Amino acid sequence: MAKKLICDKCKVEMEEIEVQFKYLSRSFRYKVPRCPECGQVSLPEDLVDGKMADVEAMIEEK
Amino acid sequence: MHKYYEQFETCREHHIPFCSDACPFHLDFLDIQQKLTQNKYNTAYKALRNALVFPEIVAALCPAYCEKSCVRKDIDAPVRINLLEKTILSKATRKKPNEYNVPAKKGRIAVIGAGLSGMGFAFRLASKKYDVTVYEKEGQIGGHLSILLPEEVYLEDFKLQFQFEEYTLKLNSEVEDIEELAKEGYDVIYVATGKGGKDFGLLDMENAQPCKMLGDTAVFAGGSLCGKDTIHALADGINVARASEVFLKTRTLEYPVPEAPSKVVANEDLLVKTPAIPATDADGTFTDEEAVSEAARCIRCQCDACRTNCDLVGFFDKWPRTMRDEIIITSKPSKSLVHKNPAMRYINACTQCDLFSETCPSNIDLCDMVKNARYKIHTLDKTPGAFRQYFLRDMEFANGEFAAISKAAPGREKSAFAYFPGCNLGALHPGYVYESYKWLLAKEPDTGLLLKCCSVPVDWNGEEERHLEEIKKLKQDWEGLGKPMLVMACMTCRKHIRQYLPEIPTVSLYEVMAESGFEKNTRTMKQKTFAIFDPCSARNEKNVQSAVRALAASADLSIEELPKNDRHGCCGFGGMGEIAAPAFTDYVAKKRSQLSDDPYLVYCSNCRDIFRDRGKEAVHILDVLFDIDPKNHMRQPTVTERRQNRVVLKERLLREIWGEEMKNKPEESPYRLILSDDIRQKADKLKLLDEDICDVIRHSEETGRRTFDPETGHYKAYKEIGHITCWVEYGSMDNSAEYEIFNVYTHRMRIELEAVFNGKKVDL
Repeated sequence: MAKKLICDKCKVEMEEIEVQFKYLSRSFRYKVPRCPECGQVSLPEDLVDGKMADVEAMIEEK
Repeated sequence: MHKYYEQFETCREHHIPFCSDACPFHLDFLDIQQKLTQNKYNTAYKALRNALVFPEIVAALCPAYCEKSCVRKDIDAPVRINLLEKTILSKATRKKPNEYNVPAKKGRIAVIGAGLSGMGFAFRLASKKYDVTVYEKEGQIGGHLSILLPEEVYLEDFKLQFQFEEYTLKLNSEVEDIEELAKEGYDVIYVATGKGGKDFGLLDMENAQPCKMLGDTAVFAGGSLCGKDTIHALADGINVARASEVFLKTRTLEYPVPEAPSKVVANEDLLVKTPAIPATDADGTFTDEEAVSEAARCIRCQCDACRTNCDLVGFFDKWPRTMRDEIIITSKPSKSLVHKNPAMRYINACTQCDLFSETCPSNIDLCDMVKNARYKIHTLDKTPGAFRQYFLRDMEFANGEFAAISKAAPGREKSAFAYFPGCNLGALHPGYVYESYKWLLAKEPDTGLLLKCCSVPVDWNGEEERHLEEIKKLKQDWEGLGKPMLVMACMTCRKHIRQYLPEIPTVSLYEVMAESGFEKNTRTMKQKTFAIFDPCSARNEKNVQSAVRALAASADLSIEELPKNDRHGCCGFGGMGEIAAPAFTDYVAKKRSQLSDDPYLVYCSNCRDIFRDRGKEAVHILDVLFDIDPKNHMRQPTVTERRQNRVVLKERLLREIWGEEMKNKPEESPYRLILSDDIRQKADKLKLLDEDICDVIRHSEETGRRTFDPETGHYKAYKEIGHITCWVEYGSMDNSAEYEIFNVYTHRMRIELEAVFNGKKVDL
């Protein structure tokens, strides 16, 4: 599914590439679907509601 | 923050129940009670022995001081603790003490008098493996127990408990000279010669405590010699044994001092009349079932006022002192990665209903501490912006040109009164404000209108500067209207204004309506019973409460009171913690919803929202009085509709009350969005406005930054909206201005895109 996602700008398939995230002054990198050409990212909902939400909650209390 | 250190030390968290406090041994009856409810007689026996040393003797002789202090005595009968003890003794099957292989300790102990006190003392130190010698002038041990109990009872208990302990017993050995005895190399001598026995000068010393040093020997007196009854005499022996051990280890002579009385406060709500259980077992004790039932009569007195009353303490399951420490840590600047914010969640979850501080028997002000902490953490830039972004944007809109009104009564420059409906009432339905204002104008034509937010969201967010600024603007508006008395429909606004602008006179809309003898024309609500839910902001506001009840009566409603009237916490809205801690808000809302099975009659629009959002039937008193939604049929407006309602309200008020047209209106939405009910609900729960979704689509269409899923044919794009990032999955319809929305979701983390990626400049 993720493989088939296409960057509408560059018309290329998205790949798993690292992206930098930042929350409450803390930065970290994680591999997510990203366009190898222009770098735009696409976060799937299960990642957002799962792991990302957990990390957000953890950082808020850290 | 430091003022709270001392204040929280008065917390009664560890204060023991009345029964344990009255017990000379401070027996932990809560522990025994728990064991009894499971018929665990053997472990209960062990607990008894650990505290009493000679449980059979104590159970036979104790006058049950515990029962005399039991809170049940005033409503039915005390828990029969003494009989429960006897039941344990009768039913326990493993009474043999444990044999511990402990090396002998240095320290020689002499006991003068082998009565109950002396034997208790001797046992405690012999079991610690000190070298103990007991001197008894008579030919047998037990002292005055011989006149209280059959010999076999107490001798049996002595034998049982001492079976693995060694001590030297010198019968028929009266000590004449204690100084001589001390010279024999004893480190401690305990004088327990009984009532009227020799005191060796210990009792007539000027020093209030019956203890002294004889050379290197510490000498203590205790028991009946010091005027104690039999049970207190044994307790003395046990306590002096503890003091002796301290002396042996540290060489400091300190007589045991009585503990400060417990200030425990029983939860009287648990006191339901339950008669004492009769004991029917053959030996006069309880049967297994009876023991469980009798033990279950105990309400386990412990100060849990905060756990019962404060939702925050109850939900986060922490005692106040722990919370204090965590709040202090959280309120410190964070510099290192190891820094923790253990209280961040609950500081931001708190409903700020003040019930903790109102009900804490030690007057601990946790509510104030949490409030200060919010200000502190905001100043330190630690508050996650996403927590109250929606509420702050909502406040801006309510105070902006499309929704706010500050006008004197029609045709006047100044007004003696001004209606202050608050910002949520008109957002919920314009009719609430329009109808009530029209009614007010008819009653008192010199009533202006101040339609805006009272600024509580910035206060709840802990934003000091912005709050002061908002309060200043509110004051200017009020002065501009000629310093009118404000007629308030929202009790939270009233509480807030009273606190920060005490110079503004206020009265509640409901008092005005009740005093003017409001008469409802149509009587549609008959035969339906409502439980009246006073908002936390109207707690202790007896005038407002009576006014609402009078209005309900005038509308022919049948009203029930909630079990604790207004002594309950917030509905869940207060403090605006819904986004910071949704599980907590749901917990609070559920708890409040369950106070009564009847539908609620409320007079706070936020209470109405909270209950209605969760399926609890709730009508606002204005629903009934002005026939807005008396039958609970109206769908809850979405976040977007709430804004639209405010605009509609302003437009209608200007046109129909002042004959003016609204000059500026919010921009029309560039796109028409098509959302299924599920997605609409989801967006609403995420507090996403249609305008936010349109923003994402516009950004995507303008920059071309979106992904395409060939399987579904959907596009997906995102945009940062303040402190959150919003993702929208959409499809374009034939008409280019129409979009079907298939999914929305948000997160708080920022995606840090590089300005240059793969050698190309990125269009961020």
